[in-house]
Amino acid sequence: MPPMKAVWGILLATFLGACGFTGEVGVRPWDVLVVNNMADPAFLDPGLQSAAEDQRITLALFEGLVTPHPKTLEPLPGVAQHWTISADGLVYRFTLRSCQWSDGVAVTANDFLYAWRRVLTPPSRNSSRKFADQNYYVSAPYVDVVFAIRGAKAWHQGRLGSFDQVGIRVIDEHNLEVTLQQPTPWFLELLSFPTFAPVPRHVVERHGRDWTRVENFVGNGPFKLTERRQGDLLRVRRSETYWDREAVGLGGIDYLSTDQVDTAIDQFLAGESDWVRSFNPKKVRAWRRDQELTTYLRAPEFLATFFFRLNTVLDVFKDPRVRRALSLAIDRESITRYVTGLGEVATSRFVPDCLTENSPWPKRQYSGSFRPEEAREILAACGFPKGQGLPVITIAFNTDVKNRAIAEAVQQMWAKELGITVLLENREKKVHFAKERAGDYIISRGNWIGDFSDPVTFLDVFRSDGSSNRCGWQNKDYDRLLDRAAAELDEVRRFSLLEKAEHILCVEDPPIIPIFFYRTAYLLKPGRFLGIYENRRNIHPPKHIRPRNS
Amino acid sequence: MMKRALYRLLQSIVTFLVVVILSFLMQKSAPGGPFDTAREMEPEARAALEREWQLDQPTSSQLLTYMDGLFSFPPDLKHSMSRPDYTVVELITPRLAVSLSLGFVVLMASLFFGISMGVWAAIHRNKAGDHIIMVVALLGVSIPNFVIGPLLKWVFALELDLFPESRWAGPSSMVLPACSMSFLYIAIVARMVRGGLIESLDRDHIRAARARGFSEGRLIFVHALPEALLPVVSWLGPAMAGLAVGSVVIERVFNIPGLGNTLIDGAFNRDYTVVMGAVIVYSALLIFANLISDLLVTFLDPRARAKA
Repeated sequence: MPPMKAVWGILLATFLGACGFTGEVGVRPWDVLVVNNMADPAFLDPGLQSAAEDQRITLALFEGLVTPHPKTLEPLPGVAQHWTISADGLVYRFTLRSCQWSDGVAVTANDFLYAWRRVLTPPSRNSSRKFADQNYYVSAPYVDVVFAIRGAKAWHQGRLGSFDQVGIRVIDEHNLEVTLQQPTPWFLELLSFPTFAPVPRHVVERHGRDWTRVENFVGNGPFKLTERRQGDLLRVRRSETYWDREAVGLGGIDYLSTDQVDTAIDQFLAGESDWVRSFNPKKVRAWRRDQELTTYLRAPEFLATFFFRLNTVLDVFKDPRVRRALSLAIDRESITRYVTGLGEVATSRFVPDCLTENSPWPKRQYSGSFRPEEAREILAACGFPKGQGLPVITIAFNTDVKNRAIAEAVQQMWAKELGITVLLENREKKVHFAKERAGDYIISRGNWIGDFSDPVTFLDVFRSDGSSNRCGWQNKDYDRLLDRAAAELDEVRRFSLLEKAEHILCVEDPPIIPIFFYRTAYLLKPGRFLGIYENRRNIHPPKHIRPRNS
Repeated sequence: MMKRALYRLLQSIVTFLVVVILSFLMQKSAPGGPFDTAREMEPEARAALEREWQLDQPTSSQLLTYMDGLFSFPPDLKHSMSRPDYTVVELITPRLAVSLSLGFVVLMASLFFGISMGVWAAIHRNKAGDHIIMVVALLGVSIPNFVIGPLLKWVFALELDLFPESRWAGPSSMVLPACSMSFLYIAIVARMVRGGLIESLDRDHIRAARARGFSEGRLIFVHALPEALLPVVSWLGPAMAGLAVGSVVIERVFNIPGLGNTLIDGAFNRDYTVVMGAVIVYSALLIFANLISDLLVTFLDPRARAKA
């Protein structure tokens, strides 16, 4: 037998040795912002992005032609120094400033052409090459935002012979001309979307899809990538090559990957992070009693709507009156007061109110939309007095404490007001979306986040051929109103057409039941960093954030 | 002996293959796919992605392609679907290292404290010290680590501020997760050692040795304990694998970038290649550890050797 004492010693030494050191936690430069970015970032390639976590990082690493104002979201000059717009609103001409990629190579108009062509071209277009070495093109989840450009959609769908027919023209290294399909007043705002960000052709072509790895990465934003630990953190530091580097206040940002909300909050309270980015606070009501958390919690209005989809293909929902009755029997104000708890705005409309700040979109009162008496009368007129004869209705939702609570509230309201039996079905996220997509549901919880500040980003969803429609709903009048609005140059007339369309969507022939407009929640220690403003898209360009005593 | 070893090896390989094929098929048959999101993708972009990841092909040919990669040298576990600039091997290796180092610390702590406590309890059988240790051990077996973890975190990280609250940055961040996981294993080892030692201290040859005047320390550590440790050794194989796998919950609680977290995220996001990679590593670990401990027991225990 080996001497037991030696074994003992080794065991003890290993254990104590492992416990003995102190780590790097707690030591960080004062001008570095530590953000709980929730989920681990997936794609650093701006063309491939769809998640908010990734897009936040893009704002630090890349700069598009324009960048959003931190407060008003108005487009500020980015790589484009200035621009002109033709009288018909179709032709945009951008003059680019002299600036560099983080490896010192100049950023030119060709980089934009390359990036946009790359996202517009599905990899299959090049079937002669194997996928593994076909790095030129990417399958961009948000490619549809680029469809505002003339011919872009046709090229993407393979209906165009040559890319020259797409409305992107490089005049010279510093001048870029973009021609749109139709007037798009929000086009400049779209340009700050990651999908429109330039990518460094010289790097992408050399490294293929590995170009976003830390050792290869090249960006043109105010910060550069310095470290990436999968599942742990992503580190960026101020770029020395950025054209406006004097204006950048932060020395860097550490994005922590913590998808457990409770863990993120603990990190924040323990001083290991400065900012817990948007999350879904499941325990807000309990928090209200916690003074410390309440002082850090901010919940600005967010350009997003919570709603239920009704499967209009089903016999029971063929009659729009039945759908309207269901909508009338929900007391949304009770839901926002007792269930959601962040001060969400109850609504029976689809386009969020917070659009109104700088646009003529009317702000409307919700009150009066809860009319259970009328709902009962309508149901009776449809042949379902006191809910008799209606089949059992199931509300499906993706796993989430709040989704369940809201569905339960609706379940009880319908049982009480209409005498309907409602079942609830909890589904795992991917299952939920797959089944919703396949039309395998009766009522399904949904949400929609606006991509830009115009009602169109919401209303286009439910066009008859809208890819995210998923209700099987088709309404010719609705499509026609949206088409007319798209061709309308006068803002007031355009908005009145859109308002009519929304009325069809929410009142006349509703395929959806909107419940409330979201607020986004985040935790931020007041005073340590300046330049973080509340805005409706929850976008905070890190270029404008600075530590207090700088 | 040799024959038995070969037989067990063959058995392990078959088990591994069955696990890989079953997990592949189960994963493919689960509803929902990697590209199902709240916002529908353009059909062309979606079709291109499905072609790129061969999701448009029948499951059987997908499986064949995958197996082909798995059994080439070096094994090709493909690229991650949600982080395509990294291969699955690249993603898993650092995370496996984290899980393994956590598991190793826990194992060392469990053996050290478990054996010490077990020996102490056996020597002081039925006295106050024994009772206290056994009550603590019972608690350790009964309280799940997802209760201990947050509790330790609250007291030692949030209130007393002695250790980092979460993450994996330096050995001090190992302490709380390792403690949360060790309780159970310390308790198991202590109970096993106590039972075994009490039994073997009662054996005739020990009594005879004691009569000859051997020192008590020598009796226990040289003659009785090795025998009492046999069950611990056979438990060690599955336990080691269990430690690497079983840290899933604790990794979640302390936000440790280990393999367990990767597996869970991968499963939720339908990152097929990453899930397969994690399953392969886990099952290989589990099967290998069981194989080794099985062979070790055969080697150590004369009775098992005779049977073999």
